[in-house]
Amino acid sequence: MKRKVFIKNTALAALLPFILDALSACNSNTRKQNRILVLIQLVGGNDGLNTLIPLDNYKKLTDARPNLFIPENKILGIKGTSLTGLHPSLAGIKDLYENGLLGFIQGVGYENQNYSHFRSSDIWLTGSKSTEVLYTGWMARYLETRFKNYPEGFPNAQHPDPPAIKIGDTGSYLFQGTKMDMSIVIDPSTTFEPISVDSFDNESTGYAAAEVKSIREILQQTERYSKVIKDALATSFQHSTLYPKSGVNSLADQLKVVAKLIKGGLGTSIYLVDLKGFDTHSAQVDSSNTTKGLHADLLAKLSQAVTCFWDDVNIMGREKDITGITFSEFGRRIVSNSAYGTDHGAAQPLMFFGTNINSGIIGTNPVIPDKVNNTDNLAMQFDFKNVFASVLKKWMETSDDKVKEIFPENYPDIEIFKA
Amino acid sequence: MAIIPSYNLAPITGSLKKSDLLHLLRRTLFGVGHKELSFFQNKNIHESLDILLKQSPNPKAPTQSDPDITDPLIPNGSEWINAPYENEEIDKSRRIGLKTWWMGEMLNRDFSLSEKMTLFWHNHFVTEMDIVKDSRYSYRYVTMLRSYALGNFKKLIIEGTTDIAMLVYLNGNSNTKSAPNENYSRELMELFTLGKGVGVNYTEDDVKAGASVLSGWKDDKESIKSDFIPSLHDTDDKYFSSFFENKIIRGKSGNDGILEIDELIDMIFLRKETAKFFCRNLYRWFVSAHFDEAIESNIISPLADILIKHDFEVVPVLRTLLSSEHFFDAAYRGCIVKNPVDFYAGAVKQFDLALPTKLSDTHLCWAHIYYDISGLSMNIGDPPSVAGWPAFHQAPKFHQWWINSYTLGFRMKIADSLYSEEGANCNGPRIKFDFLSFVKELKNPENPDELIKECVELLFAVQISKSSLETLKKLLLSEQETGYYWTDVWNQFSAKPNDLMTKSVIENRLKLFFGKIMTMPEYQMM
Repeated sequence: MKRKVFIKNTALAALLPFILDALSACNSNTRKQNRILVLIQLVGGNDGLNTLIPLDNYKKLTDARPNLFIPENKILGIKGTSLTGLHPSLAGIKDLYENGLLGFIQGVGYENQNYSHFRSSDIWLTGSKSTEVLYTGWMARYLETRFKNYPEGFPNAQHPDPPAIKIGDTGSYLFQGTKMDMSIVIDPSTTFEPISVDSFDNESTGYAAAEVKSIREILQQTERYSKVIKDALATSFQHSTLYPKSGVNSLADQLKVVAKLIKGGLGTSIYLVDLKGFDTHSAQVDSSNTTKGLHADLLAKLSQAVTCFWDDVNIMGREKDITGITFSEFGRRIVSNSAYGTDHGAAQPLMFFGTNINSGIIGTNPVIPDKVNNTDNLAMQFDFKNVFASVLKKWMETSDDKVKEIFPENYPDIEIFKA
Repeated sequence: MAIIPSYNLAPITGSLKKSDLLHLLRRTLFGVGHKELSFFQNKNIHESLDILLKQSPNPKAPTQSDPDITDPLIPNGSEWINAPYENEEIDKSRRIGLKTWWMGEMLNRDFSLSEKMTLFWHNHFVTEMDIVKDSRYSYRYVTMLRSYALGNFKKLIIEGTTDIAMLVYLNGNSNTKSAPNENYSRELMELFTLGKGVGVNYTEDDVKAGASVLSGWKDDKESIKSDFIPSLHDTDDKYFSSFFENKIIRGKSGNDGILEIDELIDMIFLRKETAKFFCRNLYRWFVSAHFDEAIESNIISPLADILIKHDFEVVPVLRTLLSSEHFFDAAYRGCIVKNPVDFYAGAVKQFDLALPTKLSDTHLCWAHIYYDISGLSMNIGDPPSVAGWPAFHQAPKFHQWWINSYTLGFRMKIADSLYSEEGANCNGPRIKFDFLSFVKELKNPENPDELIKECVELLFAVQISKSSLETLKKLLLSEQETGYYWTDVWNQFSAKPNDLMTKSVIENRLKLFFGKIMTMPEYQMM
């Protein structure tokens, strides 16, 4: 009783004649080609110390995580530095890095680290301080500077496409705007179908009134954007041959849909995809071989997915317009636990890619204390809000004033992008 | 316009109006149709709650029911809950069987709150079957939730702390004196008991001290039991912060180490924040996601007092809440977005959808429904994280989280498939709504206005507009103005129920009519 068989056989599938890889071509793209930002969320808290490995601290690392460290001869060296290496699963990432297409920022986090998954995710997605609670996503606040009063009056001739696309089956806090979710959600495993919508009045009273109103708004927005999305998905595109079979690497499946939408001419500039499973409290590595295990599999998927996607970007000739960045709700603890895993930690390295980026490593290797104990965590070098403020300013070409509306602090520029 | 509801927890008086009864049943059962209504009508609020708050007996264990799998030890149709673990592939098939079985229990629910509360506990005290990866463990976990459905919050937490699935899920099985693992201790405080609200100031060191108390447990795959290994237990004294009044739990050696858990849970439950946190979750599940100071002080705090007074039995709290003037206030009618189980299982119960009687076919249908519900982003048995589904905790969207451009479209497709001519294909057997039988049970099905009125009352928890009513009427009358055409054809059908032509005329109109209803935003509310 496997789900694949299931979908294939359901009447439901028959009702949805339109499939993602539909061949019908419709290639009329006269829209301005916006810059595009693809955010890759690593859900669960990625272990930075086993991702971007500090070689100058290697001895201390092996002491702190005796059952978890990657043997020195398995670590992938990277051109231009002897201080830092990569997890052996990241061969694709290493290639991109050495071709000047990828870089890292060390030690990204925030003051007063919160160790709860959901509070820390909220902090990252709303762009709040650890001590404050915000109810809108930082990206939604940015999009609201471009799509004023959304959803009133959208789509329109100037903005025919959705402000943001979330791939998956749920929305994200990142896109929660003042009035409504600024994203359209597209599930890569099924189809995208326009929704029929009525124009009935809302006569609900009490607390239900607002709820019914927002459901109707979602219906209306989806209907309004469904044609441009369907058209984009229907564009014929010979994807990179590097992609694995669908269903093998969920991140690759998601990025493939993003590539398809971009190729199809969708003018949306923000995409959010994710890879789940980074909460590796146990079996992060195999007990017999630390280069294998849950984390190795996840990083291999990340590496493969980014490689395939970048190949797609090249095939469509959009490498100058597209950049990507990863993030997670926190890094993991320096000291490993006895279950071959790691507990919730603090700062983490972020990875970014594109042709306009400064390839290299921003910041310094994390410092591991001489006598490390179970409670020690990696220090923050860059506030994540500072990182995203720089991305908005330099990549999304947002004015200082507008960036300050989104992230009120005064942040220095981080040189992620070429001048 | 500001909404000012009643903040009175006193029970409503007098007889239960039909609209009140519908509100109560919508919030406590999966789906309300003719059966539910006729069973409860003429009962007052106390009689109704006596029935709803009675714990259902635990069901028979699940069986291996996957026709695609050969389980070498377990013939198809037999139980596996005490069988040896075999391998991941076999266990996966058992896991699907377990989820399917759970789905079946929700669909077979009687007139008790038990199944809904089992799901509530699953969201409150989360494990994920695909992480536990041993269906026998997960069966024990689900059985524990179901036994405590209308039981005692504190006892559930005590038992659940060393539940075999939980030991695996939050790494209690690798938490030892020499290598502490604080995962469970952290979630115990943050998600299962105290929460992280205002005034909850436990420290990182409290989390670590909690982990020491809980050290020394293992899961045993042979006996399928949790084991305490005294030599792995931290026998040092554990010191807690001022939030816990500087409590010291004295380290104990040997099997007495187990006793420290009771002290830890006692210490956590002594804080009123635990009772309040729980009552807030219960409130959000049954009443509304809307919170303010007035709710906090007039509703949550008194409910927490009741919970504490009754030593953490949940029934007295539920009884107070679900009979209160506050619960029945008009402001809360229909203000919760149906979660995917309420939407799908609710529709199945509401329209009394007939499932095949042959057991293997029934299983296929349960599995189909389970998968669709999972596609609506509620994978029973595998919530997205230890915090449960964001719809139940994430401000400010809460229940709105269920609805987005993808899931709303999928809800419509599900409705479509269930009233399509051939029905929804469940990998063989097909299921479809029998709207005709549903309508036959109405009081005046021959009168289109009465038919619409009665359906709208039963199927919608919120008011719908005049224009929607007109559209619904048009669908029933094929754009005709006069209701006589419907009455005429209905009477023809009643006189000759076997005339297929007349029957199809009626059914075609009912499909359009109910199809429209199920896809309206108002139908998503309860």
